Amino acid sequence: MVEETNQDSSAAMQRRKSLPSLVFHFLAGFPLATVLMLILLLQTWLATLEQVDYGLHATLRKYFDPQAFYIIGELRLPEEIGGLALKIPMPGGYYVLGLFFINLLLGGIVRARKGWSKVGNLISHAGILLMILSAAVTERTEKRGTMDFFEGETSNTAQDYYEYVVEVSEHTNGAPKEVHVIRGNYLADLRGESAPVRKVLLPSLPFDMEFTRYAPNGRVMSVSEMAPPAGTPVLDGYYIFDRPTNKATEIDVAACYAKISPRDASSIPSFILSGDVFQPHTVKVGERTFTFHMRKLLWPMPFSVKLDKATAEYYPNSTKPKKFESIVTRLENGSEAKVEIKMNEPMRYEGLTFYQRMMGRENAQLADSRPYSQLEVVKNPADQWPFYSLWVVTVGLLVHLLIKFYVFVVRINKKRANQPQR
Amino acid sequence: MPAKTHSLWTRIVAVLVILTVIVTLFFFMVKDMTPKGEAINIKEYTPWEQESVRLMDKLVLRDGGRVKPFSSYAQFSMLRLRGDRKIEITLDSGEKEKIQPTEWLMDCLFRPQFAIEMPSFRVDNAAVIESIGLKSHGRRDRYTYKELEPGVEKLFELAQSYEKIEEKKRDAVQKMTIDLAYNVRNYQFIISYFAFARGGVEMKSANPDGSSRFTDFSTVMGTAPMILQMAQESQGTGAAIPENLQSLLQQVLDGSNYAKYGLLMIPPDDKALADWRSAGDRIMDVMSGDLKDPSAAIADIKALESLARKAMSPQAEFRKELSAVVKRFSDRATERGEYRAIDAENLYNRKNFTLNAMVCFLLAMLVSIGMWFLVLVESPKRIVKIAYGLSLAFVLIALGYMFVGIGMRSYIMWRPPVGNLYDTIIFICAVAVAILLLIEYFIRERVALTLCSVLGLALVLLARRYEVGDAKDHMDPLVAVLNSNYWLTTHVITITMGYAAGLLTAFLSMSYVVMRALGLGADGKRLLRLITGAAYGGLLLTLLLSLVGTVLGGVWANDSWGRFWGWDPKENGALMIVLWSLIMLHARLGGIIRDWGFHLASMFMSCIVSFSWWHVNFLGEGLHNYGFTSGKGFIWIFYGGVMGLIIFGIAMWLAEKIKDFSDQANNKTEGEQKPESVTANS
Repeated sequence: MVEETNQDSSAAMQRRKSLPSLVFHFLAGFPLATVLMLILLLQTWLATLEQVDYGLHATLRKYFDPQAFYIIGELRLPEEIGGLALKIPMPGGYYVLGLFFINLLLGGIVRARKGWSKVGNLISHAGILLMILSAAVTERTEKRGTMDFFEGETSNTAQDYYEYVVEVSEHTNGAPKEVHVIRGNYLADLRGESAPVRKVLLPSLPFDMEFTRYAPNGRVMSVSEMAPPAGTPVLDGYYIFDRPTNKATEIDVAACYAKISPRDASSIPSFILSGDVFQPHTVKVGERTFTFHMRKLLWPMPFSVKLDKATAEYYPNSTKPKKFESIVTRLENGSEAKVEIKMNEPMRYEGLTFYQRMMGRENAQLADSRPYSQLEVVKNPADQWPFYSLWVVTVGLLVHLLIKFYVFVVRINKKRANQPQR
Repeated sequence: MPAKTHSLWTRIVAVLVILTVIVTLFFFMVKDMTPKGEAINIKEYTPWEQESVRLMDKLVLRDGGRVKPFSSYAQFSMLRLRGDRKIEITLDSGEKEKIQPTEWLMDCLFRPQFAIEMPSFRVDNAAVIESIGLKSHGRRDRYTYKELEPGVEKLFELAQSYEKIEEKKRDAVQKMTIDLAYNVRNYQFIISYFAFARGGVEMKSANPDGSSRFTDFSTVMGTAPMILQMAQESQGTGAAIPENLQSLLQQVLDGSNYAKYGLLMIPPDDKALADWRSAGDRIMDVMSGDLKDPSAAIADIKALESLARKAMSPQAEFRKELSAVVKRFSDRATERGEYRAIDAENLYNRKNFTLNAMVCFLLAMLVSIGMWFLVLVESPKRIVKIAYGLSLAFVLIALGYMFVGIGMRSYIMWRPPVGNLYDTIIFICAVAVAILLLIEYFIRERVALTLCSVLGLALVLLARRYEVGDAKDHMDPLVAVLNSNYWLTTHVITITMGYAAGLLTAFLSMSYVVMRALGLGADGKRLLRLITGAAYGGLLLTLLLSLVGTVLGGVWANDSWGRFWGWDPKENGALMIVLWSLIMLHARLGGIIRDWGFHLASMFMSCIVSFSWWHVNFLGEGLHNYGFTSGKGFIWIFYGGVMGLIIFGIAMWLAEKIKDFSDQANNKTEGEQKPESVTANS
């Protein structure tokens, strides 16, 4: 009878809960946390398997694209049992992670029981929140590129990893004047046979531009090399062959068809722009000369870096790398600073981080040809946040584990003391 | 949660599960320790004396980027070709003799006439043998070089054509053909290495009567300036090089080419040079006129010639020459600071720590089984205690072997103990057993001690089988990006300990399921609660180590590759362990799962750990990829076994639920009937 009364009053309390309170309890609850983590686990597993077939970049875009509200995960069964690809629908990873953040904040911090025995819990939850936050900041703000130079050369720009752009500049006395940059991201959706034509207005120039059929990994082909697919525009015997993207997306080479629309209504033939072409396309508009160049986006550094020495050391009698090291001079406002950049020891300065990425020689066959170094340049305000969160989580979990261990030992000893001698 | 309420069938199934695990482990161990194939007879074969073998082990060479003793080189060469560390042969006297790696390689180098009769090549598919026009022994077997020799040309031809096929598209036979071709090619270089010393150089028309005379390579090397001058003069005048000079040069080229590959056993006498030289390199260094002072090089070759020629002499004479060669090269290596851990490595190779640990774990397991039998038949406590002590002693000795072995490897490699997959197996084994012993110390219920032996034996077997399958020296130095003692100590050790904690937690849960099914223990309820407590602690430890290890890895990746998280399969695997631990904890805290659910989920943790630790290597993607495929079948057997156990657990759980339901129904019926009877009575 007493039990029934309690159940009744509990049910009555439930009924009395307001809608915001119910929503709060749902968002802060263990069931939601468990389900969200299960989804994240499944997505992590499927993304691990899928990257074998589709490459890392494409897989991540699929699973964690902010525009993907839902995704269809693919689980390919082993070839021995038919190799069938099972389709698994699930919410987009970006939103699952967002909801998980809310759940952790409300359930793990706001609603969580407070007290000395729970202090470890609270600390570790706060650490994980910081980690997710750092992931979000990284996702939104990170810029990544490379800086290549030979020994003795100085550079103050980094080349973006993925994004191709179109650079338009006027040439006077053989040198470019002002460079106008049309971002590749703005053209990326102009794909395929039915791609629309996009007009880009350039008010400070005597013409506007039109682009179509952007191919993220296009190859400029001659019709004599291979007949173009039906409906593909051919310009001066060349066309863009739209190849599938590579698994390593950074090696893709973009191309597109471009057209100039001069404001004086004169007609200039369309042309092809491609990241594969080293020389820019030159066009005369009236008496003025303009160049059009498709290349990876360049971003300027707040300082210059000079490569003094590039050292690539290998274990004797083997091709196993032992040490890669670039000794550079950082040049800024007339001051100089010598820095060593090694594997695992990057240079961090003014919000930028320079990592040792690759080493090589101008002519790989000749041991005495000029060495070069490729540094990876990353701009990420949350660069060190995971490191801070690591400490927070470690302290939290250690405190929690020690409290649990203490309770476990005390309980065992108490039981032993209460037990009759066997 | 009543104890001892299970039916006979339940107990039979549980006992069958345990026995299957034990028999499987035992089978693999026996297989591991038994030499493959029948002992063959090699006529007139005399075994190498141990003194000669020990002396040979002291010879050093550079291989895989490091300086190592002859014993290590021999061991991995033999594993690569034969897939085993011993060959059993029958002597003319009828006695059986086990040929160990050093002896095998000594035969290959110094007595190839015996070596080519040893079954040195493992071929796992008869189709490979048949495709080169030879008759196979069976589906998989070992072959001597003498047997393979008629098909070698065809083998090389086929391998060359298969190499043109993209690696991922090659079928098993094509891959094996390529592997066999490489092995045969390497073997040919080994058995021909000292051909220059055995044959010498034929000096055509050197005698006054116009007949030929044989001389040493070292003697020819002494006249290199003169020979070079003669050759240059001929070229200068445009005249053809004299026939006898041409023949001499050709023989020198052939001899040096055979002695050029592998066995870089000569440390350079010039300390500024880093690369070690093979005998062939040394001959060509002199003959090409590259050395200002060729005297040391000529003396090196002369010492090797003297050694090779004593191979068939009484072994004391052979040892005298060998001793001179070993001293010559080891002194030079010592002067260069490259002989630091050679004696330690020889000791490590001789002591065979993992094999000894394996035997101790097996003994501990057998004693533990006996102990549980004694418990079941309610034997006197004193006898049970003796069995307990014995099992504990074997586990402690095995653990001692493991830790000493790991420590010695660390000293030899001069880096923290975990740097490659092999290191992780033995490290996980040692850590998991140590933690289980700690758990046993607290709960003292024999369960964790028994698990020590089972898990220890399973992991040592895995280490040995992986070593055979991979056949690579796992003490070779690490590539630049991994070569960081700080990160190897922090991230790698933490994450590896996380794997160990995850596995032992899963094993504790397996024991829970089996014990609950069997109704073992005097006070089953108490024992099961203790196991649950220990598994819960293990889960927290898994979470702590995996999470900290994963984030440390992220911080390392941020310093070396420029990103905290790269969705690399290995990183994802570690994240999956963290997520699964968190799911279990939150599901338990939220009341979604209770004891049964917790242990079933915990058993599944072993699959996630295996995926992260082992399976991701098969994907061939990412920066952590070790690029191996051996053991692919084993992982599916493991998944299958765990899933079978989980299904068994679910069945037990359902059976308990049904029983509880029917008990409740019976009690209710009894409760309803009772008042009636009371009324009747009253």
